Amino acid sequence: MPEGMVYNIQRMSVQDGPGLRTTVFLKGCPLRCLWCSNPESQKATPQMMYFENLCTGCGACASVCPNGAAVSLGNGKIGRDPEKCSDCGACTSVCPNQARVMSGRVMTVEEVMEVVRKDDLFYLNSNGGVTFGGGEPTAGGEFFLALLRQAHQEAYHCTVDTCGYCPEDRFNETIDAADLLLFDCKHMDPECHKALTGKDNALILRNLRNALRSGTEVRIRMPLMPGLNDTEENIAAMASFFGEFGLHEIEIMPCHFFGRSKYLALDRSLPPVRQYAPDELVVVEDRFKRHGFTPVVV
Amino acid sequence: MTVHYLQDARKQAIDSVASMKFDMSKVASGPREYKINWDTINDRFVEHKNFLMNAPQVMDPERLQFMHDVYAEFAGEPVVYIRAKLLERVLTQKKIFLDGSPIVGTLTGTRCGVYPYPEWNVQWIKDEMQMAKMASLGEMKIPKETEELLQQTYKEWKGRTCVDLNNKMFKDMFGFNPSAYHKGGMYYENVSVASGSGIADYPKVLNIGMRAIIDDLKQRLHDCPTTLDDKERFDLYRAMIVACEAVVTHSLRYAELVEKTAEAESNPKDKAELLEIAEICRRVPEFPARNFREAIQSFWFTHVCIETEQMACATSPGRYGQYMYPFYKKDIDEGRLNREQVVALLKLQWVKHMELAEYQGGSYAKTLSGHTGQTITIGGVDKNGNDASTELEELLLETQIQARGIQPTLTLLYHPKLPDSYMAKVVECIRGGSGQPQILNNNVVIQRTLARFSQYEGGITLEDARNCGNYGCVSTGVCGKGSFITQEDQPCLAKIIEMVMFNGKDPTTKKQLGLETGDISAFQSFDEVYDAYKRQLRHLFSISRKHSDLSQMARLQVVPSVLRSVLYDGCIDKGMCEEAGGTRYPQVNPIMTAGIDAANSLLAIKHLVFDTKKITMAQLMEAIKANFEGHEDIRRMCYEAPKHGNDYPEIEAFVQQYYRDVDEIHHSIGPDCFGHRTPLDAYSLSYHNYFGALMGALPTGRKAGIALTDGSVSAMPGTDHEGITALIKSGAQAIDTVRYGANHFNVKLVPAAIEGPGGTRLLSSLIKTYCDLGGSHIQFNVVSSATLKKAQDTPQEYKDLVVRVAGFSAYFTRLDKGVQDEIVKRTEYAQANS
Repeated sequence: MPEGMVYNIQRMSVQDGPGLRTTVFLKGCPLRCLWCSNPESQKATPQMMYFENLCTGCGACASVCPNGAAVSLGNGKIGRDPEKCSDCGACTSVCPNQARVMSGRVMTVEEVMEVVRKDDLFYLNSNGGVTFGGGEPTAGGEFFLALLRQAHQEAYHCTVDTCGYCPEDRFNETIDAADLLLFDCKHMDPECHKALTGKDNALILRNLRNALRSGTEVRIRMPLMPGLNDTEENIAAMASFFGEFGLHEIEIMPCHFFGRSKYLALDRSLPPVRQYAPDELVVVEDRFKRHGFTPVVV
Repeated sequence: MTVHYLQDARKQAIDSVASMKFDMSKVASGPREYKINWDTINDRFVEHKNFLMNAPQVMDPERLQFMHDVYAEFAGEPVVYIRAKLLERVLTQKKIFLDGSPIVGTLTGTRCGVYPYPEWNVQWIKDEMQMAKMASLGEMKIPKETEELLQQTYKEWKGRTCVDLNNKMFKDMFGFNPSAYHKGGMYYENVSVASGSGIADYPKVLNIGMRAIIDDLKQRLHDCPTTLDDKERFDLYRAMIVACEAVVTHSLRYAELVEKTAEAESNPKDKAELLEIAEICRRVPEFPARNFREAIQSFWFTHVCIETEQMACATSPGRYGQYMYPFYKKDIDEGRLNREQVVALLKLQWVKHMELAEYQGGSYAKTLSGHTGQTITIGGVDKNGNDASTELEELLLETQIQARGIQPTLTLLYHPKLPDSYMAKVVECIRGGSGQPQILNNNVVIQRTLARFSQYEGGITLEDARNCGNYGCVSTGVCGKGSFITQEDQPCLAKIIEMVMFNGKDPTTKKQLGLETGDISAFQSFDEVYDAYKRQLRHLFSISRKHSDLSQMARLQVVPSVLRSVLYDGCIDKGMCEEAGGTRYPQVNPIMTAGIDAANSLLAIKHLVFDTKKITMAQLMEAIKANFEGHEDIRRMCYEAPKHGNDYPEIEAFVQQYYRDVDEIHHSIGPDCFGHRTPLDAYSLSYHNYFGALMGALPTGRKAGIALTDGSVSAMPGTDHEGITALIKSGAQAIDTVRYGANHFNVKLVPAAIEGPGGTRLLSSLIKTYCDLGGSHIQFNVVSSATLKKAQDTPQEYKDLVVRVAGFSAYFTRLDKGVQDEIVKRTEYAQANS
């Protein structure tokens, strides 16, 4: 049975598709977006996350770390030396405060489904189901497809939250088994897209077209970054692209810093973007409306 | 009027409650338009509520003096008659005053007045006089005059109260005084407080009036056989007539006062209002109410009189939105009132509920937090099983949202046929943060009611079972036909863990309270521990049951209720007061607390000592005895041992088995004092707090003196980490809610989780799923910003706190400080604007 890397299974998700859902987060993403709400999702291998505010400086980590990577921060807390840390996770099993936790573990399809099935009745009563997110779930390859097919087979409403960067044949299989695609759309211009995510958008747009023609429900989601992808030109380009499919609804997600602690827990610097001011966002919403979109802020 | 006619009228009224279709078309309407001064109505609500929030509660001396006089004057009469005379004296001679409300009538002769009820217990007068007294709204003042009377009452009543008599009888029977059990926190001495538990037959008074009830009683007294066997019946009817006449006189006294006040009133609008109030007081509750205003006043006088007889927790108005609906509908249809005016009137009724208060000693304040438990049941089904929810009930929810008070409380009898719009109103109310309405699963309650009463002589009809309601906290029974007494010595299940760990010798009182089940460190298997637990439990349950039976004898001897007996169906027919089991469906409710602390303790011992062998029993005991001081590592192991609330099948199976065993042991003790098999009620009130303060450390990792787990299926604070769906599944299935008389489940949410239409659907589906899984009670507590701030200070204690903001869901303590602050701000904002 195929195995894959899962970093979180979140029961009672309410924002990842209709009703109450369980969201399975797969680890690993082909893109490297400038702003990412879940930075721990990018690497496809397990990572140790260190939450300084929960650390009591007890030293349990230092006593087991094989690499000498648990080092005093000079404020009574014990952090990590990212140069030395090998993400082996030895410290996470002794930390009494869960200040050190591993993100990512190998799971089988059946292990994931066992968790998914737990909330059956909640899905039934709320018209909910299961959502696969990431990272980029399709990057999970055979594991992801097997999982999706199994959930589909068991008649769960399946939502896939995707950036669309995926080999076409695999994406077509995804479209077939999914009930709903939450399709991220970051930029219409190939160069700008590359600057924002590390890849150009040709493959993504091909997959998007296929999805929109398929009959599977597609909702467009757009992570918004001030001045980067909310420009007049980009929104006009989007209007012309989606107009072809008669699609006007768009979910916009202004970038936020709720993931700040996770960047710090991974010893990463914060993304070089800023948050919207409320009045600023109103202007952007109007811009979408002028181009015929019905934006919903999520 | 002939008795036959009366019985028909009574039957019609009672049937009407079941069918909820009292034929209002045959009832004359009264005035075309009410003369209420609507201009000032909201100001009057605000003034009244502010007064309650700011003025201290005051212990009123009058009842003490009346007691002294009446007991001297009527010495030699049967107790039930003296009790009626005491009620009569209070209702006909207490000072009365007007408080500016169009609904008149207050409990005592002073605003925010509180009566003591020393017939149940006087010990606090001796032991606690110098201590601060907390009642429902905060600190209560005892004026000099009252204090002197209290001292006199103590001398007169010491040795004669329910508590004294109960303990004396127990000592005669068993040779020892049971008070050590209370001091050790094993039991709560329930007979020390008056009981309000139950739902009186308010619609009977609304629909046929007191006069018809009195005429019926007079006829029954006249026809009463006079063999010695009929003495109880004869005395009761005599007493009941006195009590009912006093209820009528009480309202007529208000009529006179209002008329006098009207004479001096110069504002024509206020004068008109007063004259109308006087007319209403002359009509109700003596005669049937004809419209919504008369119905409110009739209800209120009845409620105040019941509370006057014995002001106590859980005097529940029941299905108010059902029996008031015909009056409401008539006024709306005939244009006499609009919905805003109805809410304005209800808000003024609500503050009157809030003003009612009781005081029965310090331990009472701790166990019940001064709660008066005036619970209104909404939702539910009609006698045919169809949705019974009414538009008036939606206005009760609206009133609750606007009044933002602590009484009355609302309970929703949830079933899947409730309309979406109704559920939206329910969610809107929950969102306000008061935790209301709490939710009971109607299907479970009906099944339970059928199962419980089918063993009674005469059984139960399906119609009666469908007319179930919430008695006070989370218990249930039949509206108008049943009440319960709380079993004496409600056991603390966690305390039994201490009995097992200390070989029956209570570490708090140093007395041998339990059995000698052996040195726990010498046990070779978990089965031995579990077996010791069961033996200790059986031992304590059997003492508790005897003590409880005796306590009911004490109540019957000292405080038989009269007006309550009139208003609970069955007592008049049987000629027996409520305390003797006169109601159609008398109940004994053994309330049982801290089951989860006990189950989690057993799980921790099993896991740490026997399954994984991480520590020895001796090591664990050493840490427990030291209250974990110097054993932080063991405390952490204990805390992280398997716990209820995470939907782990094998853990939950253990918890379910535990609760089944508790139930089985309870039933092996035999029937209650009324001769019935009585289900256990598993809930906490504030007992988890009271008992927790008296107990040492537990193998759950809880330190000495800390509150135990609230509810009966909630998770121990900070130990549920799989999210709300997992918690709900665990909570719904921990107890067989049909076999048990109650379960009790509190879930914390932040306001953002249930914002908007999506939030409404989310909460509705959580409620539905919980009920589908067989859960009985659930209450959603919307977390306050104050709690969030505490979580910032002590993140270890709030690991389970899930927050959902802007589509981002997280454990609050894992968020960055800045983000946490933002969420605190948002929550404060939501609270300020809700």
